[in-house]
Order: sequence, then C-alpha cells, then structure tokens
Amino acid sequence: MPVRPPEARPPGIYRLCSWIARTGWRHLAGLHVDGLENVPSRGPFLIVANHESNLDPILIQAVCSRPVHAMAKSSQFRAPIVGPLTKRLLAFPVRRYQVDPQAVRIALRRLAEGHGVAVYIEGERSWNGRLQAARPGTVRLILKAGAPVVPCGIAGSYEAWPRWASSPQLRPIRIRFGQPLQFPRLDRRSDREAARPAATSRIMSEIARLSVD
Amino acid sequence: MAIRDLFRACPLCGGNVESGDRCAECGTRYRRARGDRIEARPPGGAAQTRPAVEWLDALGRIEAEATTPVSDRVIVRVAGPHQEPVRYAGEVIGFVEQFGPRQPGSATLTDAALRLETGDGGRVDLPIDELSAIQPTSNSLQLRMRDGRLFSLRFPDTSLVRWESLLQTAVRRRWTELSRGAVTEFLPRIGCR
Repeated sequence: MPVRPPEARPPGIYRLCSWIARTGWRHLAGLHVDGLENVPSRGPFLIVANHESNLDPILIQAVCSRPVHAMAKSSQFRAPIVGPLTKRLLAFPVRRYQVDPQAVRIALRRLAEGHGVAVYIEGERSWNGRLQAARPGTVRLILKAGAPVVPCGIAGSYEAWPRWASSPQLRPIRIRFGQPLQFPRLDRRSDREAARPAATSRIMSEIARLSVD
Repeated sequence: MAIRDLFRACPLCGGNVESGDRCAECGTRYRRARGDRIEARPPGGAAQTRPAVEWLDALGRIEAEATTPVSDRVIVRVAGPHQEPVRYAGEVIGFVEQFGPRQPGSATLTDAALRLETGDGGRVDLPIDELSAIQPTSNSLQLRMRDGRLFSLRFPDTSLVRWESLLQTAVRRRWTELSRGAVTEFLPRIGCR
C-alpha cells in the first residue's frame, strides 16, 4: 500500500483547481478567509465544517494552506468527468446509505499518514441554509481518530449556490477556521458513545459561531 | 436540482409543484431571484420574493400529505450486487455502486409498501419495514433495503423532497405500528432511540 509522505505536494490538477477557485471567486465575487493560522502547519488534522453548497469542498481545499483529503458522496465518482477529477482532488468516496467502513478506514489512514482530512458533520448539504444536526457517525470518527479538530464555518455559499438551484451566482463567501479542538482518541466503542454528546455539542457550537455571516 | 425539489408542496396553496417549477393547483410559477431568494408569481397576481427559508417556514404551516396511496411517474434504476472499487495511485480508496439501466414506470406508496411498476411489466414491492435507508441525492432518491438492494428513484413530475417526506412519514408510522420505537435518523440507516 503506498504511503504518502505528509508534506508531499498534491497533484498538479489539485493545485491548479485550487488556484482557479481561490483566485476566481476572490476577484469575481469576494472570498474572505479568517483563521488560517489555526490549521496546523504539520501533523494530522480534521477540518469539520458546515455544508451549505457544492462550493464548500472546492473553496475549503482552495484556501487551506495544506492539502486536504475529503470525504465525498460515492455517486460523484460515477460521473464521467467529475468522477476521475474528484479522486485527483484527493477526495475519497463514502456510501451514505450505509455505514461505510472503507470510508472510515481511508479517513483514519490519511490521518495516520499525517494528512489533513475534511468532513462535513451534517452529512449533506442544507436545504434551507440553516445548520443541521450532526451525524453521529462523523463524531464517532472524530473520537476514533483523536486528531486535532479544526472547526470551520462557511457563510454565504448557500446564497451563492443553494442546493435547489441548478447553477451558482457570484456572491461573497466567508470561511472561518476556529482554534483546534482536541479530543482524546477513544478506542473503545462504549467510550466513544459516552463522549459523543459532549463532543457533538462542543463542535457544533463552534461551527455555529464561525458560520454566522 | 430545481425549486420543485425544495418544496414538498406549493407554499401558497399546498398543491403539487411540477416540472417547470409551477404549481399544478394554483398555477403559481416559482423562479430563483438573487441569492437564496425565490420569486413566486401567481397567475394574475403580484410577484412575491422571499428567502427560501421563509417559503419553507410558510410551507411548514401546510400539513404534510397524510393519505395514501400516492402515485407518481418515476424513473427507476437498480444497483447490482457488485460495487466497483475506486482506485487512486494504486490504492482502493472506496467503493461505488453500479446502477442498471433507467426504467420508466410508476411509484405507488401505500401504508405497507412502495410498489414500483416499470413499463416492461416489471413490478416490485418494497415493504416499508424493510427499508434501511432513505437518501436524497442531487437528482434522485436512493432507497436501500435490509437485504442490501439499492434503488434509485427519479421523479420527473414532482418534488424529490415531497417523496422523501412521504416515505419518511410512512416509515415513522410503520415503525410505531411494529413497536420498534420513534425513528430519529434515516441515514446512514434508519434508526430509533
């Protein structure tokens, strides 16, 4: 199994797409980023963000100072052009209609290799722009990983491209990274279940604070 | 995705919002305005523009459909048992379901089952209590059964969210009847307290 060194440069297509997204949105619509210094400069980390729009994963990767691997819905990998591109953008599939052990394994493996991984704690895009409830499985993953959690709030991407719209409009977007939260790595399922409510509450309150426009 | 995928019913009258984002009952047309705002233009009336969340709040005051059966045109795809591995740099990074051909037909929801009938005479009944997950995707509703079968349903004439809401209501009712408890989540699997 290939092990990627933590500081390896991401593929050229990743860097190109990130540059286009970052530069393009900043100049055409407005892109404001706060708290980038909270992304650890080395070692593993989890970015845990709200999910308002298809733009979120693109822009988080684009603005983040380090390469970020991301969970993406499995159906995206079937699409003829988007599918091959998605995996080159360091995404890996998650089958959301079942507990997907492979997605959890890959996320933990990337963290063990020292990479950053992004997850969307609500599990899917919001229909109304409001923060949804956290998915228990994502919090279990966070507690299983024990890596620093960088809470991330995105505001404005719902106005730019709501889930019910077929195309985006150029609207300003703000991305805020909060100070890393540290949760102990819990190997026992019963320990994770006991710690889950408090961890959920702590993460969601941070995301709610950071995602206010 | 379309505005009709957002509305399980017309926020002004409770009718079905069809393709073209037009209400089949009152004829109101919906279209996206600036940002997250949606304009409603009733026939002969003045246009109203509000944020989507306000339309949804208005819709919340309209009762969800409670009666069955409900029937609509549907395009069905069924995933085979084989899931394709996704590889990157020689590593298997996950698996992706493989759906079969599109089969136009109809979907009929009753209290106990969802019946799918396709134009070629095919018919399958999916018992409500055998559903294990209900997942809306960009343009379809994916239903996973306890035996592992996966169905993708696309509704050309009506809202994806309407069908998601209908199925969720049916599952809640059925689970209560079977004394399984109050359903609290539909993904990654239907679960209760």
